[in-house]
Amino acid sequence: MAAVVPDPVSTSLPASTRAPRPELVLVRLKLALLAGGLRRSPWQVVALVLGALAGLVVVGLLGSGLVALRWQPVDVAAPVVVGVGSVAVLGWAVLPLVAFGVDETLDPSRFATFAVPRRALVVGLLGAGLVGVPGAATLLLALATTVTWSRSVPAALLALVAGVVAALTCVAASRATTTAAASLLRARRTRDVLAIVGGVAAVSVGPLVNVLTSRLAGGAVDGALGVARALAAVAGWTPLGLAWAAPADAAAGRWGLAAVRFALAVAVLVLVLAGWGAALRRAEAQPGTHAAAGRSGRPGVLDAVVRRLPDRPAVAVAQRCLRYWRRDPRYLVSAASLAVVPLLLVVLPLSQGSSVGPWLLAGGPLAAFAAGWSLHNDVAYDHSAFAAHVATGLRGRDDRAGRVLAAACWQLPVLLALTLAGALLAGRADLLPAVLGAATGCYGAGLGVSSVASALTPYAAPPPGANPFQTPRGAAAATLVAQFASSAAVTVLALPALVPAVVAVLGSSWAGWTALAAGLLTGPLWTVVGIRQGGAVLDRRLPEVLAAVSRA
Amino acid sequence: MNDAGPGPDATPPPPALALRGLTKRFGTTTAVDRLDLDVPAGSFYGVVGPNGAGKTTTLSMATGLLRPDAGRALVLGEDLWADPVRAKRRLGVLPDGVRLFDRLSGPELVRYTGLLRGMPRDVVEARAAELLDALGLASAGPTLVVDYSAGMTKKVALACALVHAPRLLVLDEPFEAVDPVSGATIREILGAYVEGGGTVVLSSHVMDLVERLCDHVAVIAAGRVLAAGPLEEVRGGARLEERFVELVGGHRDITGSLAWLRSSRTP
Repeated sequence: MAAVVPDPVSTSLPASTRAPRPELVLVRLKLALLAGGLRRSPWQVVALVLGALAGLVVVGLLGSGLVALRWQPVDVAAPVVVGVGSVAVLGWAVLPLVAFGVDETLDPSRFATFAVPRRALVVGLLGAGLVGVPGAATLLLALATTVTWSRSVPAALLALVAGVVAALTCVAASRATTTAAASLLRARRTRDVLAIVGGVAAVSVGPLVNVLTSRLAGGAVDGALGVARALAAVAGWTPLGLAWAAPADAAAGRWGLAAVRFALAVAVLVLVLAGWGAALRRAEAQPGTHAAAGRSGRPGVLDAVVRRLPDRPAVAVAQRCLRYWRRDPRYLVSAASLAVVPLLLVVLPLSQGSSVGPWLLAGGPLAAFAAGWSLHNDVAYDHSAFAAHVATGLRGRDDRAGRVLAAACWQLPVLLALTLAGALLAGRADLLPAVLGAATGCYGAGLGVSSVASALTPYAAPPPGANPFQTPRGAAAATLVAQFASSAAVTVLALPALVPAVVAVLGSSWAGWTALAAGLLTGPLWTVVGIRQGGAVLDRRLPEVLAAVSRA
Repeated sequence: MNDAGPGPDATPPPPALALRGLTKRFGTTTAVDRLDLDVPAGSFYGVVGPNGAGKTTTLSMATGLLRPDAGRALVLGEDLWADPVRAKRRLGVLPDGVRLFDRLSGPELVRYTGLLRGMPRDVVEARAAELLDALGLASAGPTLVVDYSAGMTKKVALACALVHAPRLLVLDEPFEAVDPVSGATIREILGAYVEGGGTVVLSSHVMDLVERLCDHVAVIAAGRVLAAGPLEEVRGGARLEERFVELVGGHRDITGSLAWLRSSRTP
């Protein structure tokens, strides 16, 4: 991937009098930004190399599979390619909303003043979207289907073109969904509800489709191949699978069908691009943070509770955080993903055809884990506004305690309800102590680890007012390392409560009380230790933390 | 290490702000290079310099926002980097290019800053209301700071810097984007503050303003102090702007170049 580092001179204005096409300029700008990032920090080089290696492994594995399918009959190869391809498109469209965010190195709003025609902007950003590990890997794999369908020269040619269409659809879909969701979230009236409904819907669409189709197809486990074929057949007629299915038809000699599907696939790409363009236009009309005019800071119910607490800096921090949980789309997205966890646990096993029971039990503890852990980069959401904490000489432990207090204020009741509901719905009230213990242990450990992690390894997050689904450039590797290390630490610290809880679920329900005791003991302990240790770390590293979160 | 300061002849009280050998490097460029500066207590001190001179870097290091690679910053006699919490107690800061907690309304933000400093809630609420009223922000009511104009944002940030009645006020570009009426209000507030015994350090590009407002001035370029002291001494009879250009240099004669910018030519 070192080849992507361009000569910086080549990105400056050309000497020739003919202006280059804006589309190409955007792609080149992305390359230059990538190179600039690499030059700035050796860690970004490490990140890119690791990412590229991971991408190569994926491309190698899946690619060799696609090549191997060349020697399989079309009716075996087609369902595989269409199925995997459809999942890939869906993943591009949905995953950025809930997990990784979208790489907005080229934030469209930055081009608002340059009079770039929107068409050129969309096309250029689309091309730039292919620059980067996920884009390149998707394109390579899509092109690898050319080999799969090389049963005749025309079929291979169609596969080549359709592969490009499919890869572009992937990138366009991710941009369209995140841009649309972001502009929806900016609208004041709708954003609270939509943040939650949208998040839940986005995550559940895939599994729900699975449930429906598997029910329709009979859902029997013995007919797994049949079900997969039925699914792929359905997917081949959805926007997700059209581009993948067209060359399969061609390879089988069904040219009429291939032509129809290919035309539809192109139409889908055009529609997605048009949708993206429309979402961009709406975002341009109300740029950035000034979208929701007339927003006002009315006090909420929780504020009234916090106001009764004593005048302490930590309480002030908590009150401010609570306002942000309500007013900032980034926090709303984070809160919505908490609601998604238990939902996934119900929907996923249903879609596999297995029973829901045991998963319902895990819902509470898993949500507790996610909730506690979600604070591990809380400072980064302040962005450079964190300077207020630095300039006022706020004690690190007050900062930590305030953030924990605010989150616990609304998360504790939600988690308690989830845990109780899970155990009761699963019909295992006897396991209540076990799951309560596990949830408490996970939540306490999560808050404790987060309190240390957000002082120790803050990484850049979307700045206030930005698209909450974006990931700032160059943050990917630091993000992954920090996320992995902190979640591992939470798991380890939660073990004293988790182990007896699992023992209880496996049969010895007396262990449930051990789990509860361990959870009630270690949960608060880890939180307090985390606040103290994290506070001490923050006191030592205030300017460094400020610098780290002010980037992007 | 010098004791109280290099010139113990004239000033009995310690300087409100004393910078000693402050240095900051970013990669290979040295933004601030062994910078020394003394701000006498009770002075209205202007820091001027061309773009990229290191003004913001210097003021950030003097207020605890940026750790210096070397050197010390003494705030009212306290070593800021040795005991930041203690030194920051009597220091008010208006940083430049820094976001605010802008999902709060103006009153909420000012109150928040006061509470962060551990002030009692009733005092904070009274002062916040008074400050916002004086700065003409009371009418903004519950509007979130994110929806404020640039000038209003500057003013609310100033209110945040003032709420705990600091002894030393460090303001980075306080008049940027502020309209003339608000500018006059801010000047009045700062003037009264200095009269009451406070010390103000501010950075600015606007020489006229510094000349009118400040009694001391320092000219900074390339991370070093070129001239510092009482205003009259530094400008030496000339206008500050002339003296500044003379000190900093680099004024370029552009006659004849940039011809394509003239609108008579079509592109």
